[in-house]
Amino acid sequence: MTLLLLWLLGCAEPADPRALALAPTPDDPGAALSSCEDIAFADMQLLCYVDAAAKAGRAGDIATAEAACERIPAGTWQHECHFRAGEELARARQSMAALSHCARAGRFSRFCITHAGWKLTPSRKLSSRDPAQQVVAAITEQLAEIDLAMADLDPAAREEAQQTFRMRLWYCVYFGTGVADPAPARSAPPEQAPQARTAFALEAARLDAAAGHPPRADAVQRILAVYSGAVPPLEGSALPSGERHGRYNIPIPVPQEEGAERIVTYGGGRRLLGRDAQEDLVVAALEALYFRPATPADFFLPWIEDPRQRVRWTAARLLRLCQPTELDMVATLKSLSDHPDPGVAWNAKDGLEYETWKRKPGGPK
Amino acid sequence: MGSQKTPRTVKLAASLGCALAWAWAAAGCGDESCASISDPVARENCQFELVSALYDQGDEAWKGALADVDSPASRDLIRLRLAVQDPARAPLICREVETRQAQAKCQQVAGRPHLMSPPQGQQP
Repeated sequence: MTLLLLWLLGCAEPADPRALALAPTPDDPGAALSSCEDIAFADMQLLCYVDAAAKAGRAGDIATAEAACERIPAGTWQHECHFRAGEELARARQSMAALSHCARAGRFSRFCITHAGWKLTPSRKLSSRDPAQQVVAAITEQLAEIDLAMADLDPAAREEAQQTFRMRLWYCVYFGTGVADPAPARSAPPEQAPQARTAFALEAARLDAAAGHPPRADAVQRILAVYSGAVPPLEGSALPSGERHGRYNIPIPVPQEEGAERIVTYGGGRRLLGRDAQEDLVVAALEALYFRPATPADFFLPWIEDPRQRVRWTAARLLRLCQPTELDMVATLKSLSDHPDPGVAWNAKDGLEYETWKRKPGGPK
Repeated sequence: MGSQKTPRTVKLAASLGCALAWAWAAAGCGDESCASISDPVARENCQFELVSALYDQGDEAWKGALADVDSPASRDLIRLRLAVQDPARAPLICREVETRQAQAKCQQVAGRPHLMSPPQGQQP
């Protein structure tokens, strides 16, 4: 009788499986992982494990992030799990663990690397005020460590990842620091030189004109002069670390650029590599001026007649991505559609067709 | 020690009783209607299978079947499971989610645009 009574009292209805499946995942990584085990529906369990991996990543809990992704069968959702773990671990400054997850993120590896790369924290806080050799040594050392963590990546993704991390580390040395001294960039080893030039140009372009104002008409020449040492390094106010962003766009597959060497820039963007260091600096300067949200389309027009093909293509692409101030965009692009350089003409036609200057770019508004 | 022995036996008997009771209840699902299934997991799975079987026949078909499911939580569970299985359509599916908890869960799929591109080799 007693047993029957206890049985009746103890036999509570099991928890509602819908409520368990729809409940928010706990923030604590361990609790998050164990909450997934209680979910009765396999597909909902996948979502839970992905969320648990992300929460573990955010907390810098490498072991739990790993355990969560291991519980998901191979395929899209396991890739997504590694992607989430990778980007969150990078945010928690666990760069090596982040990269290891990105390497296992399958078709999402590139996105993961871009996100993880741009969340990477330099091992040492350096700026271009520091001795050039010290800056180069710190970057080179950190890149070597990162390279080891990327051993599992396929060669194409690895090359892109190396470029992303090079760009990130040089970006941290220059952009928003309040000083554009070319000395470290000029000391960069050849494989880092395009990224070093890009980063220098970004800060020089930022410091050369007041925020919110268009650049000077001779801004590219001024950036070149500072780089060559003809003009002293630029100095100005630093940006708070949370505001070190700029205008950027997703890469545009321009047919004429096929086969031309390009490098990864801010936020997964791409820029053409110049045929020599001088041409590359001009391309980097134009891209840096686009990064300033206040640069209008008008600024790029004169550069479309530059004798160097990659400079023309860069100027044409940037012009059609910016809002004009005085320029009649439709008339200008119509006229450029007949340009003798097919790369310029293609950019003009594509710009007209899709009204690309009206598109919302990435970065601050 | 002796005082702990009895409660353990009682707990074991209670657990066994519970398990048998739920198994017995679940076994009573010979009825064609999902609603008559007592086991809550089996009931949700039954409803999900009815709806997902019509998923490839177009929105009208599966949404019609979904409308026959009584509870908003059950309908949302089905929507979420469909979104997980077909992330490309998650933004459309998630738009119709009814409960706040499911909305947050659905964002895990619909808020990740890369999930919507088909894997290589599956592109048309």
